[in-house]
Amino acid sequence: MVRRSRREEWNQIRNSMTSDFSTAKGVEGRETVPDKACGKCKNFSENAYASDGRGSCRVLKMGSNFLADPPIFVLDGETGLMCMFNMDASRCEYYEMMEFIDTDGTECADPQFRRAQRQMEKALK
Amino acid sequence: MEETAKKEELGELVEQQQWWRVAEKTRSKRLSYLRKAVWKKGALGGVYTPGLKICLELPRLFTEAWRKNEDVPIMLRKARALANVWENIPIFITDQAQLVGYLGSAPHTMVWHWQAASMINEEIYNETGIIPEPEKESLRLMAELNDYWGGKTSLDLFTKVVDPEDGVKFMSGAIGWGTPSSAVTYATRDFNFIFKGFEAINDQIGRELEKAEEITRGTPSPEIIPYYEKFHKWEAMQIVLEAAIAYAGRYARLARIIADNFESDPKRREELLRIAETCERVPARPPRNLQESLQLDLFVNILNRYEAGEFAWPSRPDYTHGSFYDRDVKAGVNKRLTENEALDLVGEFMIRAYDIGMFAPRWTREGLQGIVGTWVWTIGGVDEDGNDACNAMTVALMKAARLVRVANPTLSFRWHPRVKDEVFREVFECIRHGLGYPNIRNDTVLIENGMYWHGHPIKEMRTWVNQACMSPCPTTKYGCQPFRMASCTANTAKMVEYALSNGYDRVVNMQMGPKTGDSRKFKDFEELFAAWVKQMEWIMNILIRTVALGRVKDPEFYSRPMLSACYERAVETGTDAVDPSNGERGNTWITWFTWVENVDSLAAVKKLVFDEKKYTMDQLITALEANWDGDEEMRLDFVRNAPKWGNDDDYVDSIMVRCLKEIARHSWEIKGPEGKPFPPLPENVSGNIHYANIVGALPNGRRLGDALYDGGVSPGPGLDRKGPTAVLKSVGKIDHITQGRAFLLNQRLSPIQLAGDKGYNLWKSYMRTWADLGNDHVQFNMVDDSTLRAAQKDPEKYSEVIVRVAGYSAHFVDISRKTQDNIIQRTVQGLG
Repeated sequence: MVRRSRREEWNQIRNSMTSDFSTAKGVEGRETVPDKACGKCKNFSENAYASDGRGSCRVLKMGSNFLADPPIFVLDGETGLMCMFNMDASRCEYYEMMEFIDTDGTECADPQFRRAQRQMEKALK
Repeated sequence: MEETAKKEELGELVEQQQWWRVAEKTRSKRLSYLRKAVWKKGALGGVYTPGLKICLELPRLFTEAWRKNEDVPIMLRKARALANVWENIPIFITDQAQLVGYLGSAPHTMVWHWQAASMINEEIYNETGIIPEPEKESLRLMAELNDYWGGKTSLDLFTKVVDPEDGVKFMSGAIGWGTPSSAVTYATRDFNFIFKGFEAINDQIGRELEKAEEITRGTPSPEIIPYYEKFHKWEAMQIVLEAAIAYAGRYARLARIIADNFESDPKRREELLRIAETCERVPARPPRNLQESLQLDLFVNILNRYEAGEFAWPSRPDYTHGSFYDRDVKAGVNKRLTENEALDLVGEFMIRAYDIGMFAPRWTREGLQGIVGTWVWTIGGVDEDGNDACNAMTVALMKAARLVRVANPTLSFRWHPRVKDEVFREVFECIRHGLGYPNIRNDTVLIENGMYWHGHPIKEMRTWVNQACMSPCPTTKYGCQPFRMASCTANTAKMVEYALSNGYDRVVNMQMGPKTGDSRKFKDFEELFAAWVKQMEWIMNILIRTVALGRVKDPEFYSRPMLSACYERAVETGTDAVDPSNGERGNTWITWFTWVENVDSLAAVKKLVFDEKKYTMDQLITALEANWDGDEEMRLDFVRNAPKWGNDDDYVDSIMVRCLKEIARHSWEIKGPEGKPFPPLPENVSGNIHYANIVGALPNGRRLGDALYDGGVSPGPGLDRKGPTAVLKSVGKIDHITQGRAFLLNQRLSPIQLAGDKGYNLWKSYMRTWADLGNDHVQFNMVDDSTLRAAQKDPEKYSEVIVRVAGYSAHFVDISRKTQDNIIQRTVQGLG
């Protein structure tokens, strides 16, 4: 029997939340918002603590990896998959494009609908 | 004739209670200029004023020196980086200014510390509107900075050591607010020590170094080992003290250059030369007059904010500067200033504080709308011997406040039974002029509170200031608090939400709290209450574990050489000021957002489900999971027919007291890094708006998305139906000493009812009841609905209307529509 400790499991979740801290991206890595980006999907919920574009998926759970080939989709679990607003979701089968309205969003603090990033404005023009 | 017309116009404005127009007409030309010239640095709603930019000189200069010192200990590395900033950052002196020093490289800039948190660095990169022109070049520099600091910032390092489950749940943003790092912090100051001057402090460090050298070259023993770590810390402190003196020297030089080469007005030339003289004196040596003492205070606060994100400004300016005010203004050989000239200086000091701009992450902006941080300056109170400490500066601050009408700083008045009537009248006039401050604190209760929870001796506790909005903290050698321990701010509405949802959070899609049982199967109120207690303990524990670790690691991950040089116990022991082992007595608490929803919700379930059996738990949980959709009649039943806090109703008030007793019990079970408990402090800032979309539907009748109550122990808007005395009586049932740190109470009063002497007497009578009931805090809005509605329509005409939001004030036009409506909904209490 393989024993997994509580810490190990949460380490995985924590690492998926913070692994991008050490990744050098340059201007291009930050400015690029793919056509099918997580931030444009209805199921993306922006993190309420960090407004740097990280968030979680309301459909896919931890263990999912739509960047893999073939993509892995886990639908059961206690924690939503951590993702970034400009992650490439072109292989995600559960993608649903949001309908955007023309507002600067200052009255909308709901993490489910808020997309605060400057790059999103450019991507939607 | 002109004079008469002016008086008539003023009289009309006073009658119409357009206090912001009265201020414009009565303040000096200098104050008018300075007030109008200042940029709004607080976010409007959640976004920044167009034109406001992030300062990139600070991170560029800081990182440049940081990179050159890879192999030195962090405090020394930090000191050298700060010195590089202070030597090279552009400086300027604005027209009409008599006080100098600026946080940022230009008037329209605000700062952020790239050493703090990668998440926030990236947020700045992604933020609309604040990238300086040319944007392309700025983005290139920021990408470079972010790539360098990624993984190295204080919070990045912290996330690697914190328990991973605690870290993930804390960073979900659902249960807590804060950053366990000096990146977002505040620190009390002992001005008795600082006013010795930086040269004297430097000399003291020199003597400590000499002693340490003798010890480390003496007979070996375990006792000498810690000293090896102290040398570089003392060296770091000396570097920042010398750099700070040089920074002030740059202003002195600039003032002389402008005076000698560019200023033709002889009066202004004289002022510039006085600025030069002031900056040559402070911070190097002790101040001798009001301008020097205010300048020293300002330099200390600016320099410390170049080092860390100090988002509060604990201060007792009448106590600190009062003797200099008296010396300068009272008749005698030392008289230098007229009262009006002194008022100009005091008013400018408030404007300079208002001018300070620091970038705040979005969750902070949503929770602290309209301001940069909570600059709550404490006035009044007693001295160490228990005598009335109010002085001429106390009154001058209140007069200046009514003239400059800044939302920050605000004032907090320490009331005690021997306050003179003429001083208390000034407090009333500020409130009547619609400032929303001072708030009133019960000095006797809070002195006892600090002695009870943290063991501060009475003489030290009598020196207390508001550490941020509310929590009293001494300003003594071992009483000063260097870190925001309240970075364990709790979104407490989640306690009752999780008690009902078996610990699952539907908004962030995560099992957050412990599994305390399927609430559909709860058979009585005691089962629900037991679940609530477990969720309460869990939230307190996780947040305090996080902040306690952050505190202990801060000297290693962030470091504060400038603050350490300002802390006597840090100078004596050669430690970082934040290090809890250097003798700090501790002043911890846990800020308690979104609190009363718990009490109203528990009362509603008890009444309508368990006592009257009108609904089952199954029906209630189904309705909550659907956000009350399809159950509007049931929801209104829970709103209207369940007892609500604030109506002197023992049914719900006894639940409040019972909850607080459980929390107090658990507070004593917890120990922070200095071994001290964490009592709760109910208040909200505008967290009630930030959390509106994060807290789910609750049994008090709210839906996901509805604004939460406005804070502390204030009743829900419109839910206090029995008048102001009933509110005070409800609040008076709480023991304000043993059941928490402090309890915020918002009240709205009618400006028409409280006009003139009659109004003052009505208000005094209300305050007597407040004091007799042992309440510790109250604050007032006295602006009528028609003014607020007019301000919503024509914000440009009402730009200086101020409202009390929660533990702070803001210009009404700077807060979001949702927050504006929330304030308008607050019940206007009729007195008498």
